Amino acid sequence: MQLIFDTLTGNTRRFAHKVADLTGVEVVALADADPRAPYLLLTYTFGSGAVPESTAAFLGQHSHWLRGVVSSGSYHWGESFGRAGDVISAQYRVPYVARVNKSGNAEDVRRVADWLQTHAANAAD
Amino acid sequence: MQPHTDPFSATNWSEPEDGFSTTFYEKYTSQLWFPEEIPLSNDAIVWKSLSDAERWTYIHASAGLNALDTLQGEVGMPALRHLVDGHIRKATIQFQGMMEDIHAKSYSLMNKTFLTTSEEREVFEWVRTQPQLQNKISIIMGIYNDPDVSNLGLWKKMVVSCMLETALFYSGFFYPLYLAGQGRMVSAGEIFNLIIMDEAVHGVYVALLAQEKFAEMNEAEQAYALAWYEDTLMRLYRNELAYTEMLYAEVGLVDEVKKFIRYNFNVLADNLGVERSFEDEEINPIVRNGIKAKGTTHDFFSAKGNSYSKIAVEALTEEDMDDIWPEPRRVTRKEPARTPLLEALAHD
Repeated sequence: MQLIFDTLTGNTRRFAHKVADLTGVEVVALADADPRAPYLLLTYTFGSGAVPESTAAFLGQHSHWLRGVVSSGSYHWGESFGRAGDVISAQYRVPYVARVNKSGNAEDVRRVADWLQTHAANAAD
Repeated sequence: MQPHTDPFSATNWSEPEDGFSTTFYEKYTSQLWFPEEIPLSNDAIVWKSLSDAERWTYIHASAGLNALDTLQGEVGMPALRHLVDGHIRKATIQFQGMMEDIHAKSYSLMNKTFLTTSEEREVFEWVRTQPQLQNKISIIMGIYNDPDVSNLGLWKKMVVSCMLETALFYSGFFYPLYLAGQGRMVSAGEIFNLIIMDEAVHGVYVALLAQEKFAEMNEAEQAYALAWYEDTLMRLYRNELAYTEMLYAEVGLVDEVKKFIRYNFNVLADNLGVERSFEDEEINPIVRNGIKAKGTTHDFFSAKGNSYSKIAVEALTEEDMDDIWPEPRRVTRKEPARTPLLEALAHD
């Protein structure tokens, strides 16, 4: 499993590296990614709930190996916080693994690491 | 004033200076709102049911925010707009400045709605004499007025702007969110939510510009900049703790507000791409509920409210006219497609 991140402010990149530090999974920037195997997408939500155009364009081409989504966002948006993840999760029928405020906290990192582990175990079955 | 050496150019929105400013500009224009659109009359009744201590904290928290938004609109944004390069960036920051002025007016309108004239005067005088509030303003103002306009100098100005909007406002935001989270003062709470959403985007935009400036510094400058950041942040944080103790003692929320301030200082760090200054903490659940609280839409045509989205505009065409007046206006014309509703109207 790869972690593919799309970022504007650097928050999803920092979050992806925190997850990688804990799990050892490979981290790839969306601009450089050409997935040929399962990946977890880390993206962000702009303002009131938009999926970034770069992410939408990428998914248009590479949704086949998408296994889950994490969205960073701003807690200030209340019910729309991290909505890009809801949109992607519904559209591609993949789990919304974590909704994180900005670059996330230790608990968010752990949740994603646990998911990666469970997913790897299931894939090996 | 130096004479222009280069010819003055126009703003070219087809070839933006970067990949994000246009998005922010459009975000700002799409979420534009005015306080007059959110009636406070229901809250005026609730206001009378609050205790003296609750009213005191509420109105002084808002008045402090008024001063800070006035500072941003009048000093901060013009300083940044003057110093950043690029027509679109300048336009985006100028728009931000106007939003700050609208926020300041919102606070003033709340005072006008809830207070008597003499109470109003007392609050404005309090702003002028409250030591921690004036200290906060003078630290920030000092950076804005600093003649250093090197990368480092400009970065500092951007950073204090973000400090204000992403962290230092939150000692004031806490209380209205806390009451809105309990279903009290919900219309004013909606205004606060609109302001918070504006400030959240401002904080990201100016932080992106700051990240760019930071990347242009050499290693020694970056090390100095980070030491300055930690030092300035701690100075402002200590001041904020004293301000909070004064503002929230009577309503018994001092520790909860301090937690909220630290939480938002960490958001600031994330926006700027620097190390977080504080341990992970949770936001008070009532405040979180105040942020989540769904607003009501007061005005059908503009769909305003904190679930706000600006209505999209589309040009009228011949077909629209045919839809509105289904009677054949031109006998030679093909029968237009009708929606069931218009069909029903046509047969009315």
